[in-house]
Amino acid sequence: MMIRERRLRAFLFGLFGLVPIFLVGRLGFLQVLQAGELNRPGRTSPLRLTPRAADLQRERRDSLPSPRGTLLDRHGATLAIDSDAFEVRADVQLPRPKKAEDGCKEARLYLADLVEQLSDALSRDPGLADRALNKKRQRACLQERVNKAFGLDALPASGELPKGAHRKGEFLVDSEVAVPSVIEALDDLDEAKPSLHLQMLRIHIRTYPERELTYGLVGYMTDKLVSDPQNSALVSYQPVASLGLEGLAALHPGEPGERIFHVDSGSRRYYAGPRESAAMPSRVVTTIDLELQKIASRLLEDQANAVGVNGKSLPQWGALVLIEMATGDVLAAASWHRDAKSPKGAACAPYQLVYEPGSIVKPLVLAYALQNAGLDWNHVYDCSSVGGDNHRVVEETGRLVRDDHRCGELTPHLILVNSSNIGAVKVGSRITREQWRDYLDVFGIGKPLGIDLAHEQNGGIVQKSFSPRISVAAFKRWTGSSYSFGYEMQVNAMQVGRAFLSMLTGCKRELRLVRSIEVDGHLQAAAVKSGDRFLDPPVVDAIRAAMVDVVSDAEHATCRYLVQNFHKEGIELNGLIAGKTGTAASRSTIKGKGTVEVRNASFVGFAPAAAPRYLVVCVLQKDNGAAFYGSSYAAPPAARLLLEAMRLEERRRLCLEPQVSASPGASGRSYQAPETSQVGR
Amino acid sequence: MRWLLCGSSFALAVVVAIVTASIRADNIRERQRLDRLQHKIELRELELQRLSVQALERGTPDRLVVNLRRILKQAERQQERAWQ
Repeated sequence: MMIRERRLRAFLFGLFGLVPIFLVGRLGFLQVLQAGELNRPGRTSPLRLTPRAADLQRERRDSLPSPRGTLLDRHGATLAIDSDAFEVRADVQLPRPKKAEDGCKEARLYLADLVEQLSDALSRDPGLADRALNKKRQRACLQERVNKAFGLDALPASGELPKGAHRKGEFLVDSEVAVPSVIEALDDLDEAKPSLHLQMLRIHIRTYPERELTYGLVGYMTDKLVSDPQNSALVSYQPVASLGLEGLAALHPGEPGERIFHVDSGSRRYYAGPRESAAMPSRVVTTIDLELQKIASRLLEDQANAVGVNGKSLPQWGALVLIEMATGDVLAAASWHRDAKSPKGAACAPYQLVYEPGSIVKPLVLAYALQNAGLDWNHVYDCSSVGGDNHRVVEETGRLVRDDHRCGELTPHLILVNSSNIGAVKVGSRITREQWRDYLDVFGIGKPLGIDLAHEQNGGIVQKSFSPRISVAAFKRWTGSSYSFGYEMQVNAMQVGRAFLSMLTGCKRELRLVRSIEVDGHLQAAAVKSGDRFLDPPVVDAIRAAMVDVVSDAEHATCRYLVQNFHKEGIELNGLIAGKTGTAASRSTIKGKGTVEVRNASFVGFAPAAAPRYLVVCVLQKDNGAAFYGSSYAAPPAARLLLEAMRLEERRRLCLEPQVSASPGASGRSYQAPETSQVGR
Repeated sequence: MRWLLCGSSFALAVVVAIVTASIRADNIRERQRLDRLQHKIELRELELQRLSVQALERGTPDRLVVNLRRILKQAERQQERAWQ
C-alpha cells in the first residue's frame, strides 16, 4: 500500500471517527454543561430536555370536552341537547415580502386575500338560503377581526413594514362551525397556506327544540366572563346556567376525552391511536309533558289576550301550572308577561312571581280547622252583612270584613261555595297562633319548592306577625283574620299547587320536576315525596265536596258563570271539575309606576272531581284597580287545561293499549265508565 | 476480497438505512391517510348529529301538522285541477 493511500484511508477513518466524537461531545454539552436545559432564542424559559419534552415535540393533543346532559320530557321528547361543533381560530404569520419597501402593501393584499378565502370557506354551507349575503356578512366580520389583530388601521398604505407592526396575529374565524363542507373547505385552506394555521377547538352547541315554550322551566345557558384573579384581565367565557332545570348538577359535563396525534417536521398531523372518548352525557328525564306544556302556554296566552279585548288593559303577568296528583309531577308550567320583549328575559311566573293568594286558601284554612281546631262541619255561622259594601265586624275577632255579595247563615260547606270572607274569618278565629304557624308549615307557604330551580321566589309571611310583642287578641284580629282569606302572605303558583296537593291527599307532599337521571348507563329514579298523613280522609272528603259545589250553577256558587259558559259548549263541568276561585286586591310597587293597586285573579282546580288525577293552578295579575275576578278570568283556562289533560290521557291510553273487543262488535273499553271504576282500564 | 466485503457491508448498511427511512416515511404517509379518513368519519358523525338536532327542531308536532296541512292543501288543489 502506498503512503498516499494510507494517508487517505487514515483521513477517511478519522473523518468517520469524528462523527461519534461530535455526538458524544454534543450529548455531554447538553446533559452536563447545560444540565438538561436548552436555551431557546426568543423564549424566556429554557426547554427542559426530558423524554416528555421530546414527546411533546412530536405530539399534539386535541381536547374532547364532554357534552352537557340531555333534558327530556316525560315521554322522551328532547328539551335540551348538546351537539358537537368547532370553534375556529386562525394563527397567521405574515409571509416575508418580496421587496422590503412593499411590506405594507403586500401585508394588506395578503390579509385581504385571506379574508376573502376564509369568508368563502365559511359560506360553503349548502343549506344557506343566500350564500352571497352570508359571504358578505362573514367578510365584514372577519375584516374587522383581522384589522384588530394586525392593527391594520394604524398601518401605512405603502412602504416598509414599521418596526412595531404585527407580523403575527391570532383571531377568531367562527365561534360555531358544524357543517362538514365548511370544515373541509377550511382544512383545505389550512393545508394550502403555509403561513396560516387554523385551530379547530371542539365545542358544543346547546339546542332547545321547543324553545319558546320552555324558557322559564328548562332555562338557558349564558356566557359568564372569566377573569384572571391576579390582574382581573378577561381570560375566557364560561357557560353558566341562569335559570330553570339547566342549573341541575346532573347536567354538568363529565370527564373530557382526548385525542393524541403526532406531527411530522412539516407540522402535518398523522394518526397515533384511537381517541379516548369523553364521558357520555347524562340523561335527565323531567316530569314536563311537552304536549300539555304547549296547551297550557296557548291557553294562558289566549286568556291573557282575551282580558284585553274591547280596550280593556291586559294583565301584567300570568301563570298556569298543571300537576299530576299521584306523583306530584309538574306536567306543565306556563308563564305569560305583558311587557316582556323576549320570553328569555322574563321571570318564569309559576315560581318566580309571588302574589297574595286571596280566597283560594279558604279550603286549606277550613281543612286545617276541621282537622285541628274543632270545627263543626254542620255548625251554622251568621255571615250576614250590611251596607253597600257588605261589611260586618266579626264578633270573634273584632275585625271589619267585607264580602263580595250578601250572605246569610252558612255552614262551612257553604262558606266555601259562597267564598264568604266573614265566614272564613269566623272559622279562622278558632285557629290559635301556634296552629297558624303549623298551618303555614304543613302547607309550605313561603317554603322553597325543593326542586332545584334557580332564582325561585318563595314569598312568605310578614315575620313580625308572630312577634311575641303582638298580643293574642291583636294577632287574631289582624293576622289571623287576614290569613283566613289569604292576605298578609305571599306565595307563588307552584307553592299553591303543592299546598292543594297536600290537602287533597291528606299527606305532606312535594312537587317533582325530575323523574329520573341516567349517568353512565345507571338509571336513578327520583322518589315520589310523601310525608305523614295530617288530614283524615273524612276531612279531605268534606272539603272536596265543597269544592265540587263551587264549580256548579247553584246560586252564589263562585264558578256558576264558568259552568254556564261551558254549558253553551255542551260541556258539563259540575261533577267533572272541582275548584276554588280567588280574587285579591293588594298594593304593589312597580318600576316606573310607583305603588299601584294590583288585582290577582286565581283558580285552583282538580279533575276528575270524584277521583282527582290532575291539579291545576292559574293566576293572572292586573296592575290596575279594575274589577278582575278569579272565576271569570283565571278559571276558564284552568278548566280547559284539565279537560285537555284528561283527553290527552285518554288518547294516549287508546294508542298504547291493544284495541281488542271483549265481545264482537263492541269496544273493549267504555268511554262512559266512571273514573273510579276499573272498567276499561 | 476484504475491500469487496467492506464495500458490500457499507452498501448493505446504506440500503438498510434507506429502506428503514422509506418504510418509516410510508408508515407516516399511511398514518396521515388514516388520520384524514378518521377526520372524515368524525365529520360524518358531526353531520349526523347536526342533522338529527335540526330534524328535532323542525320536526316538532306543531310544525309537522303545519307541513301536513300544506301538503294536503296542495294535494287537494292538484285533485281539483285534475277534475277541471
